[in-house]
Amino acid sequence: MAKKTSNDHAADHAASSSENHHEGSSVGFYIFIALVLGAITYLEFALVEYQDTWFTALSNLWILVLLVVLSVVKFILVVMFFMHLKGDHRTFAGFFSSGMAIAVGTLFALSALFTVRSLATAQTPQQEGAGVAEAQGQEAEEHGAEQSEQGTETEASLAHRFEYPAPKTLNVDIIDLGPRPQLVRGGANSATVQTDAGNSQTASSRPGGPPPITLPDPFAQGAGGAAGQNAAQPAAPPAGEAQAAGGAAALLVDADTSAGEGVYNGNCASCHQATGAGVPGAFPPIAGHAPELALAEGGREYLVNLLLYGLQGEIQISGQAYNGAMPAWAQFSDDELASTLNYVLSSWGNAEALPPEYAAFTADEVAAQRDAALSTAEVYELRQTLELP
Amino acid sequence: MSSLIPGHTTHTEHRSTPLSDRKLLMWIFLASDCMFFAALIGTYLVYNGRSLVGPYPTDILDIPLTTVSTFVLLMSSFLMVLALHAIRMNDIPKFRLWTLGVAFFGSIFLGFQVYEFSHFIYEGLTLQQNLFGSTFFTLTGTHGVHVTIGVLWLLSLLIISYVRPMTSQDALSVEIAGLYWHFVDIVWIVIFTAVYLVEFI
Repeated sequence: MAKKTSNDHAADHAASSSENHHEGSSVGFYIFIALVLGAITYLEFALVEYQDTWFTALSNLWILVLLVVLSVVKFILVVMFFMHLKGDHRTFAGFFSSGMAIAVGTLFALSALFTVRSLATAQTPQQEGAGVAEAQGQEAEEHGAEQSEQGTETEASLAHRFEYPAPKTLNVDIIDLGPRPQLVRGGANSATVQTDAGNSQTASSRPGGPPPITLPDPFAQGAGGAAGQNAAQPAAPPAGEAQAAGGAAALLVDADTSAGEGVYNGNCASCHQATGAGVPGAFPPIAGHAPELALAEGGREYLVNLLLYGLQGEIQISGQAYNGAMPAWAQFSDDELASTLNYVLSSWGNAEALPPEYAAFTADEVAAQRDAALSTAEVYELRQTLELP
Repeated sequence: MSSLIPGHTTHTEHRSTPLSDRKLLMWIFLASDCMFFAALIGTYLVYNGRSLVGPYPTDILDIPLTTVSTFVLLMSSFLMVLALHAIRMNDIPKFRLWTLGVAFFGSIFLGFQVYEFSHFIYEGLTLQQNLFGSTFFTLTGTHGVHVTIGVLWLLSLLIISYVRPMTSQDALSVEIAGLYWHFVDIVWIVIFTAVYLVEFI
């Protein structure tokens, strides 16, 4: 260390003299501050640990506010009295508070960057209150418009937030390889795959295979015809038939999917891509694949569960393994999730793979699965049990 | 070290108290470290709740354990002011005792952190497991490195006190080490609230 300058010595003297001057019994004072700091730490601990027994009168927001205030108080006590910023030269305080100001600004700027976008594209998970649920119905329309606007804007930023290479050519391949109904029926020879038909055949011929579980179908009223048909004939009707009927999945196409489009672009497109092509090995394609699920036995409920509770575990689609994780999206309203399903099932040529009378998803269908409260592993199990394509 | 403050030596009449360059430098460093930690804490907070796979914070964070280690760190700060007070009073034995206490408490805190980290890794939370793992380990790990440096710094002051006679003239060195130590403490005060407590409301 360099030898001390006279000015350092002067500072020493100034500091100690000023200290002696206004803190005669400084040790006692330090003990007092330490006791206060310890007490605050215990209070913070108690606020969180005994929230449900001691502090039932306080709402979560109040606890949060109290915790922030208490930690700020501790912060200030240490800076003022342990670091002696109070009573020390004001230049120190000036430098430190400028640094603090920039630091706090950084915190706010960072959280603003993220929360403003989240508000535009998603609703906060805390929206479970009854009042909110009521309001959601009214909000849904304006929200939808807002979202579709935001969706396109955030798409680009989301795309580069995840550093997946965007293999354009591969995506196209996936779409082409995607087991469309005509491919399935036409080509058992096709290298593409284990599709609905193939799968269910192997399933029935496999002796040790688990028996397929049929879930109660709470929304048979709308999709009754289609569901019945599917059970009897797992594969989709030939594309030609659907087109001949004038507009594939007309009911789906007619459904209002503006809210769903916003939700999709803001939340799903970063993994499943704006084209629904997915990412090979990680995120399954929706284009071409979603109708297979929608038409499979138990597929409608599965799709709702998939959105509500997510999915984790390796799955095989058209001979390609996928092992990304699907998060749960239960924070969205029933309307939004139904609309999202209708959006993906009516986009990217998916509608052509569905029969004209295929019913659009309704909020009630989503609501019916809310009580199930599945884990991602249970959704995975459901998928395996149903032997979905 | 020369004077960095303009007019420092020549126009003494404009100053109320003389500024110590080393102390000023430490305060400037602490100000910059504030921004550094703000970036890390901010990153942790904005990615909070965005992990696609577990373990999630509420699965593995341990509030009682962390409260104890927070308390230990706070008390080490208290011992630090006692050590500074002792050397100002030229009470070298007490200075050694308190400084050893600070280093000891700091090591206990580090011990808690080592236990916490190894427990988390055992539970499957690694740096690359999910966003929580990446941001949590980066933030608390950086803080842990700060604590480690602080412990080494204080131990070196302790060794110096045996190598050569220390007087109240060395109080400035102790004070600067103390500033650093208290800063590490206040950063933990913020982390304890922002990372641990808020998660369990």
